Amino acid sequence: MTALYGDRFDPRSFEVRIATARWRAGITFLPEPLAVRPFVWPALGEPKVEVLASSGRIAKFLKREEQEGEERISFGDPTSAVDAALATHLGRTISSTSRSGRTIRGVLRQFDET
Amino acid sequence: MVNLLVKYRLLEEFIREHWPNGAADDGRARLLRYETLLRRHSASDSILTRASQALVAHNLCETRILTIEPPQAGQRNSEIVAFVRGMAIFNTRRVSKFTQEELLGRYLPSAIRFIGAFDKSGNYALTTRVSQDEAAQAIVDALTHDERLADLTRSHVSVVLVSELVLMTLANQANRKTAGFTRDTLVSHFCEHH
Repeated sequence: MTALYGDRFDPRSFEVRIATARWRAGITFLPEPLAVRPFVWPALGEPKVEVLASSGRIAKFLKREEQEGEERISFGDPTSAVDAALATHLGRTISSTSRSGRTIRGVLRQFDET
Repeated sequence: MVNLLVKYRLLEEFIREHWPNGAADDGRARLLRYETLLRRHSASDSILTRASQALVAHNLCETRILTIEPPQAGQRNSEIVAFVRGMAIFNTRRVSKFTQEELLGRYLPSAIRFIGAFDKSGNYALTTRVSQDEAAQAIVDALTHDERLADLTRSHVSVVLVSELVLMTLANQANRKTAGFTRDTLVSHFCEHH
């Protein structure tokens, strides 16, 4: 993320500032190894999710934080975006799950706390 | 991140494959600097401290070849993370973190050790001597003892080896080099901030 966004990425909060918007980085876990091309979702209108090029069983993404008055954008949104894109491409249902960078760091730290 | 690489014995491979400068004098000096920084924030004798001392003392950077293999039955414990889909979205599946910990602590077989949960949305740290698929099924079997989670199936659970997660993340990062980003920058970023 730093390579892509430089100082606009805060590794402590996994936040990226792009123009006036705040985005959060996370990972979608795929049920099988798949190559995912970068794309934004939704394709029309203001993007809520940007899926970054990934391979293997993880796909990295940025999720935009909702602006005042806007409907909540949750970490279920990148999951929906990836599932829909892969289902269209593969012709079958895909069920992935997504977590924020903060959550992944949190669960990994469990090992250090034991 | 260096701490994780050391913990999973991937540092030498990472240096060899992605950060050749790490084996040089200034790379070792950088590792020592990270160690100093880490010690400043941690009172304990960290993994990084021990490993970086070993690296400097024995110059292991260029000699070790490490591989990652999934755990087989009867083998040593492997650290895994498991993420359960849909725990936070559906009201009917909202179960407290305490309850989740209790179910996993009580019902997982002895070959799987529950280490801890983060938040309440189905994020678990475990060690296992069985395969990822068997671990996923065991997690389902444990959680479905609570009737609110009775509709969970194997497809709801993603299990990833911690070492695999680290490797996949780094592999994706390393691929960025072709787009003009240096690995040194990435290593520096991970080491200083994570």
